[in-house]
Amino acid sequence: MTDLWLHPSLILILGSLLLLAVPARLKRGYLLLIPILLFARILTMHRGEFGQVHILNWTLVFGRVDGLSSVFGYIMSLMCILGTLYGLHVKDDAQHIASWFYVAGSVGCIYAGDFITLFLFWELMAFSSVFLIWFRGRRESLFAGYRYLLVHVVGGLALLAGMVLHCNAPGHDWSFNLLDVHHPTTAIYLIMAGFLLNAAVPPLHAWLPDAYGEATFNGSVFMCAFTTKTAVYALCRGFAGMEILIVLGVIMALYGVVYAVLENDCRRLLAYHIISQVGYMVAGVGLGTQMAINGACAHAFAHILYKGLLFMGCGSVLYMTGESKFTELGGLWKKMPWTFVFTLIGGLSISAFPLFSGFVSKSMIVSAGFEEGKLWVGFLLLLASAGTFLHTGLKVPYFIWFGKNQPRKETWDRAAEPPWNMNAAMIVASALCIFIGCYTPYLYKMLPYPEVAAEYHPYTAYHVFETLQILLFTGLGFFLLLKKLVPDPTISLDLDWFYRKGWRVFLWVARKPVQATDTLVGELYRVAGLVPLMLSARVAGLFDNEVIDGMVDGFANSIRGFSRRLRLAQRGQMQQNLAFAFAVAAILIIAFLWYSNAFAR
Amino acid sequence: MKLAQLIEFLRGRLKAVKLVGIGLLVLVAALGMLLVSNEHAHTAVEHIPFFWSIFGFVGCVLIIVLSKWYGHLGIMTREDYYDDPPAQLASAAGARPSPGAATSGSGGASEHSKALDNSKPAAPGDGRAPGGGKHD
Repeated sequence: MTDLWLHPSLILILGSLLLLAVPARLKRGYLLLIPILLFARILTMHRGEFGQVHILNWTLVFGRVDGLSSVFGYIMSLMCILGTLYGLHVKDDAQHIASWFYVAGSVGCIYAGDFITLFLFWELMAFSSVFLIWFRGRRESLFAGYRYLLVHVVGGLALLAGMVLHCNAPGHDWSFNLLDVHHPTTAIYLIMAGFLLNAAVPPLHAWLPDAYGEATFNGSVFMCAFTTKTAVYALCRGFAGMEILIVLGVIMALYGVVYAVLENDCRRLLAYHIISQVGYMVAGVGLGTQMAINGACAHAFAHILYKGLLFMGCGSVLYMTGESKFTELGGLWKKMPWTFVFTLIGGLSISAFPLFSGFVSKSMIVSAGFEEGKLWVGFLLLLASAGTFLHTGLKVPYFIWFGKNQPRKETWDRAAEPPWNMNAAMIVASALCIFIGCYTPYLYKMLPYPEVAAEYHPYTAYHVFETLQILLFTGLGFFLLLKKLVPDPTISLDLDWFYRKGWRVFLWVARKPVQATDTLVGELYRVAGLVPLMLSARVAGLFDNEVIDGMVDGFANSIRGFSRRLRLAQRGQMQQNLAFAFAVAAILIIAFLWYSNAFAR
Repeated sequence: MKLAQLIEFLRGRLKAVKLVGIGLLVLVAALGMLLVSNEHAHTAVEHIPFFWSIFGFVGCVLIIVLSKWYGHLGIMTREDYYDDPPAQLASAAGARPSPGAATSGSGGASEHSKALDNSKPAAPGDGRAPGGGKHD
């Protein structure tokens, strides 16, 4: 064990702080360099436990490198390169800093060996990713960001409460390993709720389409990869074999499909398909066999790439035209044909077409379901994959690039192929999607149980024809029912209704019963309390005037001088102030851990 | 723009493309029925002829019909459903009006929406094309 173990997240955190000092002409190179350094660091990490910090009575483990964390660390850092490349031309440093802090949080969670470290990085993720929504700068994104933050704070609190209850129980310590899933306690359920919220499992899912549809064009590319898949990692680590996850996963897989039918915004549609796809992974975790866990990891790996690619394609349309609604788009094949091809590759990958990445990963989970004798799991997941092709493979490309709808003239005039770096990111992601689908050992050797994965062969004639039949006949259904699928300019109510409209109930309660009670209590207080109080106040007033005022005035004068300087230092934008505060807090925590560790030695 | 020409070429021959598509469907279903052995089948129902073709088609139709039915129960609603100006919210949030706030184009937005809006006018990389104005 070496003292000089460099935590991969540290590369991103230091890298983003230095970003401000990098001169403009070197910026693009620097922006690519840091994620590549991160990737290289993760590739060169040896297995084992590193970065142990003793603080108070706890042992924090910052670096647990094993099969499970390696595969997630690999794909997260790869996606960081792609996401940064995609947004390379964005001039606003703050956006890059937010996304790097976000990735740092995710990578930190993945290598965390104990609950405290996990929780710290978990919150770092939530508090940095919210800026990717706010930076879009619309009124809606401001509200969506606050909703996102509040929901994640609730999830974080559930996790924290569960952790504290679980780890303080006799016989437990703070290390984060497989929990006792067959005899779950309240604490274990609370931890699971925290994880499930981040994995967007219904009924804790409504934050996802709300936030991802409203983030910046490149912010969504980051967001679609990290939050939910970090949660899948945490579930794989702590909850493998938890039966209830099978049911939840299958419900998720179908729930996302149903809402995708109704959705008119292409990025919200993709967001609902994240819910659907994460459903496969959650079901895999619930099945808990070695093959199912392999499947969950493989699917997370493939999913990050093709979903990133899909968000890049739709993000390009949004970036170039300013529109993301199907009713405002159509016929773009003339203007953005290559973006169409890349998006189609993403669509074929997510639909698990043979030779594309989804085919070799999704089928592992489905097979594990059939092998476990849970036929309903297998059939319902296959049904969901028909729905996936229907929307992501057919509806998204058709209604953006073809369809009868004619966009407004200004949308049409603005449409063109995106800048080179966005194209480059899409090319690399497309190539990886096809490579994974064609050359299975690349992915299978990285999985937590490589020997089990080596025995799995997705390319049997039966499996290929089964998939082709499902998908092609789904395509037939799509074209026959095309008229029913023409998107309407509507939004679909989801469970976020309860906190977006539910406040009215709260306000009513506050205004009517609570206020009435308040008035009553106030009146009683005035009669019984105020009169004696006035008497004593007069006595206290004398003391106050003579003694205290002298002291307070001096103190107040110095505060006023300080705050006058502080007022000049801040620029009045709430988000920037928050960003600054979060960054300072993160640095303080890291510095504190560093120093306390140094003193402990 | 060679790719666009290829797409145009195919669109010009839509009938032929459709025929090829249908041919492909028949071919896959027939090959799946005739040539591929059923020994890898997970369950007995899969021995029904053309099982997976039927599964795909019926599944697709079911998903569309049931989802649309569900959507028309009241789940699909007007786009400005959440936009009703919540007058109380502005005072609750303690927003301070910022000069030069970008106007929000959505219907029903009033004074408070300006106050809460980000005052940055068309930030670079906010998801809009450079030079383009804001329009919701």
